[in-house]
Amino acid sequence: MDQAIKTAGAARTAANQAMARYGCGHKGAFDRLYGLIAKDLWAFVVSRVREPAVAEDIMQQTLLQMHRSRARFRPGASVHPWMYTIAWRLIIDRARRRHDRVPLANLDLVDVVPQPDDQVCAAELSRRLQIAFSALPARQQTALELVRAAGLSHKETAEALGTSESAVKSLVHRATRTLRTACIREEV
Amino acid sequence: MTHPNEPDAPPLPPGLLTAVRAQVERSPSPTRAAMRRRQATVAVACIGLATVVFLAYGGLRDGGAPRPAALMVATLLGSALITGLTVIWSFGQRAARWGIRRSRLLPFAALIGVPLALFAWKIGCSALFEGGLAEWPDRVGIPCVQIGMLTGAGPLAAGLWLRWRSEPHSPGLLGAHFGLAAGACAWWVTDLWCPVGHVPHLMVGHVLPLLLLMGAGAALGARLLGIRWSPKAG
Repeated sequence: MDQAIKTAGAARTAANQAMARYGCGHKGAFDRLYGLIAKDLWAFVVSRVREPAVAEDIMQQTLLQMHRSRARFRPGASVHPWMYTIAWRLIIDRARRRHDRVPLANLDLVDVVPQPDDQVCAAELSRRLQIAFSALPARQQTALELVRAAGLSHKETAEALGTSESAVKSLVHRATRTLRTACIREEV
Repeated sequence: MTHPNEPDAPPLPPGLLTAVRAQVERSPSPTRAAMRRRQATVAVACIGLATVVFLAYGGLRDGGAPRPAALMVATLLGSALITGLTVIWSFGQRAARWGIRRSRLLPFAALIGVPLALFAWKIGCSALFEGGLAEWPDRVGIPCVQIGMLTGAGPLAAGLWLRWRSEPHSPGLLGAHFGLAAGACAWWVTDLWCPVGHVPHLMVGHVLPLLLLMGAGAALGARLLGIRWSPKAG
């Protein structure tokens, strides 16, 4: 487990360095960057966009956006929160333009709502969660997504959202409370 | 490395890297050095535009009544300081590097505080000199509005162009800050051109362009600065 965390940390550091080099115009840095981030980004996107063609489109647009904005990437910053934020904003924008519900990822919500016993209850709970999640303010949705689904720390999420760690904790707490309340209220 | 919640994520599409590489080659983007050169060029162009507008409207003048040199220097130095800080803050987004804690309130406070500070400084300096706040009946402030809008349009357009379709946290708020910085620059040029310190004139001729530029920045920023999903891409 410790070894896996160390490997993941080293991969993230290497990705940050590759992005910084790519921002300076180093040829070949893009392929290196792609090799370091593509799996994480793909897993993040497919967990929200179930159609493979759309997921591939979001993936391409995220990487293209990172390429366009490479001059704005500060050396020393983290590339993962940045790429997740770009991907997430593209997913939200696509959902809004198509008047779809914002996709609910596999959020780790075990401590948020009581777990149902059977599949019917699980499907019903999932539906309620999706409705409640779609009604959350965009910042709460993003904070919850980045912390619970992307596995970013509060500090990384704060960096991605341009706010403080305490604000992120507050956003996640408020979102969690709203989801819990929505599920309990419907059960009553 | 697998995603924390997707240990069984499907494999990457085989042609993805090739497709992305082709798109990247079709869409050249500036490196950091090229971006710095672009920013410097834009800054010089904005200063040039402001100078042309300033000279086209008659340049430095006293408008028929002598303006004490001390009043002009005091007014311009103070507003230059406020304008400079606003421009660096808004265009550079350097809050973290200045050691200022990220706050949701601070950007909104700046939108109110900067116009108030510029206004208070102008009034305060003018009040120190006899007749500084006197009314000039023939000066309603329309030419000041024109100069303010013409000189402010350049920096606002430049800011929006440089950050077009980027990924700011709040596109509307960033646009408003570009408008604020552009308006502060316009205020300085207008101050240089216009000696009037009468409050109603200042509200129309000096404050109004600043507010209009902020509003335009917020509206345009919300439309132009955020990233958009494009169904045609890919």
